Amino acid sequence: MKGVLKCGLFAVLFAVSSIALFTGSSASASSPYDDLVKQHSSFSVDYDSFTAEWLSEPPTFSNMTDLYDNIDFCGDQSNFCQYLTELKDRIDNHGSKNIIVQSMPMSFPHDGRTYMLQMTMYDIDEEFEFGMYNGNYATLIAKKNLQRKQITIGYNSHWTIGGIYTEGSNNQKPYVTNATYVDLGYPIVFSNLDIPEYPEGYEGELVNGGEAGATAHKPNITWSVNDKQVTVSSESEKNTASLEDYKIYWWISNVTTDGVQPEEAFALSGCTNADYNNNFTVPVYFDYGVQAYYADKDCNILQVDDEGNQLSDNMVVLTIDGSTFDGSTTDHEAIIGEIPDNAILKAIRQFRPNDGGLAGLIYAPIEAIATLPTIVGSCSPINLPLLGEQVSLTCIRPTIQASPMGAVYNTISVIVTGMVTWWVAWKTFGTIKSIQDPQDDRVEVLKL
Amino acid sequence: MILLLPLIAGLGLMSMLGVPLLETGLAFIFGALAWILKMILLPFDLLIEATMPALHNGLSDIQAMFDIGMTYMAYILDASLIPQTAITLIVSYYVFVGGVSLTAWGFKLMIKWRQALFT
Repeated sequence: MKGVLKCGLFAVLFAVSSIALFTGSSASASSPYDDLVKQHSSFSVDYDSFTAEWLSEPPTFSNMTDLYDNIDFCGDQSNFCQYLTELKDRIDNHGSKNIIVQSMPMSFPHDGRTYMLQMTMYDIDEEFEFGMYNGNYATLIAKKNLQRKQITIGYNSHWTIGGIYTEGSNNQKPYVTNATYVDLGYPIVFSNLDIPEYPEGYEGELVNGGEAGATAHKPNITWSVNDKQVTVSSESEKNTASLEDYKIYWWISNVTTDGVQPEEAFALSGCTNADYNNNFTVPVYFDYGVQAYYADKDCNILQVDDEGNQLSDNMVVLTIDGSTFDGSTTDHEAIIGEIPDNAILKAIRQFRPNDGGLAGLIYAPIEAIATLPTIVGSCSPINLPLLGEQVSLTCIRPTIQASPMGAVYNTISVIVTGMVTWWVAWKTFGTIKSIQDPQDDRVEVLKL
Repeated sequence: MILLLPLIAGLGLMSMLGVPLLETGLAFIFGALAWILKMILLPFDLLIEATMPALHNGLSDIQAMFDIGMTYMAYILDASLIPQTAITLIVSYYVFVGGVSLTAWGFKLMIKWRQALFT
């Protein structure tokens, strides 16, 4: 009984200190450093005391140009050149101690073709703490322990989405797409020699584009192609709204002659959730085409944003094998799968238990158990046929949490979790105690 | 009874803070299991894939059924309103108990083999 009382006292103290801790953390959000993070409509940022030093020069690629050293490459696009020059000047001469990420995907014409160009700066150590969205808004994040940054510059000659740039128009300006987390090219690395000292516990502040609509909450989608596999994974932005409203409509076509697939040419399409760390893998062979669109809850491709504005770009920008592929083109040249040089070595390197086969089958129940702790958050509505109609059963928990009963539910959850914790602790101690029992079958063996 | 509620709430808070550690631990354990399976079954899977692709596809189809099942499981667990933290704790407990039993069983098996071989 004494032990229980002590335990209870500890728990109460712990609860009180936890509440104090949470209260304290919210107070740190009003750090004086918060004001240093600013958003500018011109995509520029405040650089006040940043010092940068180039650590490496980019390698030479046949289809890439170092725009920092070849400003002339942008031809007669004066706005574009002006922007580049300004950005370079800001980084070289002014710098910033707060801005971690700035991404500038944009399109511009060159040699009769329209190119997409993207420049990305991000914190190498923290990796991709950034979002850039459709429209004219950037998201900037300030974090502590900023040490290194990276810029990537590249372009994709397959950028064919219309409406971004009109030949001969006067309003040619850098255009920000919804390309997020897309690494188009080689890294140009420089370090920040003026590491800001943030207050203890300061976690930074995320500033969203003020007028960005629902499309600003699109998840970040990356695609990768490993041997015979196209994988799509999505990851939510921190501090953004729930992703439950979004799904990814994907389409994959494949032409194969290796006899593994039942048909030589086929196309698959479907819908997948855009939840955190959601993965979807499709086997592909040789030539394949992939497209992905942001879709609504019912898997209809999004045509308009929440405010009813027509979306100029509802397509997920794909990254395949380190280069960006715009799924709107029908040209498969950019994403022709590699025929492995050594199939066995590659298979060993890339084999995973969930790749199917015996290992996949045996691992499936284990994986099911492994995903149980996180599965609650990945609920998606279930469609069931009922009297000739499709009935959609929505997830209950988010509905409750969004309602006024949410607070009550959360309180009850804490209590239920406490009871389960008690039970688990009790059973765990019991298990450990039983191990000490010499009559226990397991211990008998262990003591040998 | 007056003590019980804050005690339970305190334990709840405590477990919520400890859950990321548990999840990391679970991920490590299951990752190790996956690796062991991979090492053991890779030759067989390569052989099946090369010689009997239809069988390989069939096995993959069965695996896909698990994925579908997990979609329904996610819905059922969501509808049950059991806190995610509680589920993590329960899974962690049974992984712990299972680990203890499996380890002991392994030792027992090894000893039996040793006795069979050398006595």
